[in-house]
Amino acid sequence: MRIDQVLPGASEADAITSMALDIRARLREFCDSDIYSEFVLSESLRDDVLLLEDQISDTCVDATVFHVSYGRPAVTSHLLKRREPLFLSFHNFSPAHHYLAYNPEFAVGLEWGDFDLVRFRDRFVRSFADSQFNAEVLVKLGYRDVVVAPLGLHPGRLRQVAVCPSTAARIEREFAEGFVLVVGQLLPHKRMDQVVATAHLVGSISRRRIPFCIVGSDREPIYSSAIKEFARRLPETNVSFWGSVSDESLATLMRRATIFFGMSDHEGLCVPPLEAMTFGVPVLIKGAGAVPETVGVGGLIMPPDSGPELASEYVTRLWDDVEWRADLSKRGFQRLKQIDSNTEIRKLIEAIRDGIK
Amino acid sequence: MTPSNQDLQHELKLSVLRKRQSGDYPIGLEQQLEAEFRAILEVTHRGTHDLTHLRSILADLNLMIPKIRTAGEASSRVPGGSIVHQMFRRLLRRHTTATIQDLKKILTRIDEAFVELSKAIEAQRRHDERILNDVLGGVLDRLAVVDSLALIVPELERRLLAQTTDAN
Repeated sequence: MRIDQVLPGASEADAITSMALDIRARLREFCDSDIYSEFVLSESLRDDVLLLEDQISDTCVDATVFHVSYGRPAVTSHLLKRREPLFLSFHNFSPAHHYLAYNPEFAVGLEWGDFDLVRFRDRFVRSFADSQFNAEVLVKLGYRDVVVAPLGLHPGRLRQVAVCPSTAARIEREFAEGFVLVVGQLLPHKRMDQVVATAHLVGSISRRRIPFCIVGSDREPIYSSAIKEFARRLPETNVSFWGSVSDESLATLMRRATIFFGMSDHEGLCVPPLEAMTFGVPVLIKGAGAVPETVGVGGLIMPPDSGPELASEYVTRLWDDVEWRADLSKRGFQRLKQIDSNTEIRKLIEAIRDGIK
Repeated sequence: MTPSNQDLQHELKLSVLRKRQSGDYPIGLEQQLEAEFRAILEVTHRGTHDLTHLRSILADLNLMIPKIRTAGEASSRVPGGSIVHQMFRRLLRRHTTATIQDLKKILTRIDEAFVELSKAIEAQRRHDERILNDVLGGVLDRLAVVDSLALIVPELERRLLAQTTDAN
């Protein structure tokens, strides 16, 4: 038996690529399985993710899992030519309107992803969504019997990663008294402008020297430059941008962070707060999209319409209350006990077996 | 005892309200911060687009339009094939000539539109540069005034000191 997976693109820091690798590892326990993508951005993945045109004939493949988070015409056309049963793993799309001004090509890709969902709706034997929030998107598009299963979700993956000595030294130098950690790509819908504004209010109104550390790649150069300029211009704003970091650095940051913080306006799943929980870091996050169901009781969820004023109140309050942070840390561990990646992947495997009978 | 999420949310919302009333959070602060960020985003350098490539595409287009033919090649490797092709070509040309002429006209207009667009971009760029130079000139003039005032201050201080000493 052979079950393949198809992604629009693959890169090392991409959560969906990590999920696909995890699913492949489980699938390979009982069948042949490979991952294919139109492009592979990271050299380290060259042996793990193969190019789309190399996928073997559909007559030799029993099923293909199509991970949808973005649309690429080449991927659509590749799958349209194939006849094996298709299974959907839906990870949601960032709202396209955020990208029209900075990266219209990317915005078109997001819209194309939406088109894929409609185009392939009747071809999918079974559909999986990362979260209830994502499942509702599919239901609105006419999908039925959507299975909610965050496939390949391993929040504890960074626990196995070694400490990075240079990062530890930098943390010691820059954040000796602790710091607020924000993890997310510098993208418009992640609302890093609100993170910066929160840091500004914490410094200027609450008169606290609380450092904020933002970790994440600069995917949109114009947006990233503007965010950094915004942080430079606002007085008493203690924010440092670390860019994209290695897993070792990220794990080291998570081990030392005082608070994990997020202001994103749109999340289809949101793995970083769960990763922070595995290190006992209290999570404070805006409850947008799938965040409330992902974080659950494990973190402190702000209202989805929270702005920097309310967020700065939350940050200072949590920063000052050691007991409360310890309680949140415990709640984080409790939440992690409810996540069992193996069960979710088993659901997929059983569905594939049923589907190809 | 740690507060429940609801209690805490209520308490912190009240704290925000109190700070708004006391003026710590001026009315419209969040909107003002957002507007400031948008303003920065608007003027963030978007890179300089070189128009050379666009010009070369337009030049190619200009050369290609007149070369559009009304019918294909009539030559053939099959004996007598070229006669058949020529016959069909003549028949087809009767129908395609008008369409090709229309197509050429449309393409010429598109070409003209692109040329106008590239001219407009160039003109806008020159205009922006001129405005920037004017603003820069104004700033430099003001700096010169500040410099000259700064030079006068020690002299004024010296005179003031002298007058104070005389008065004493």
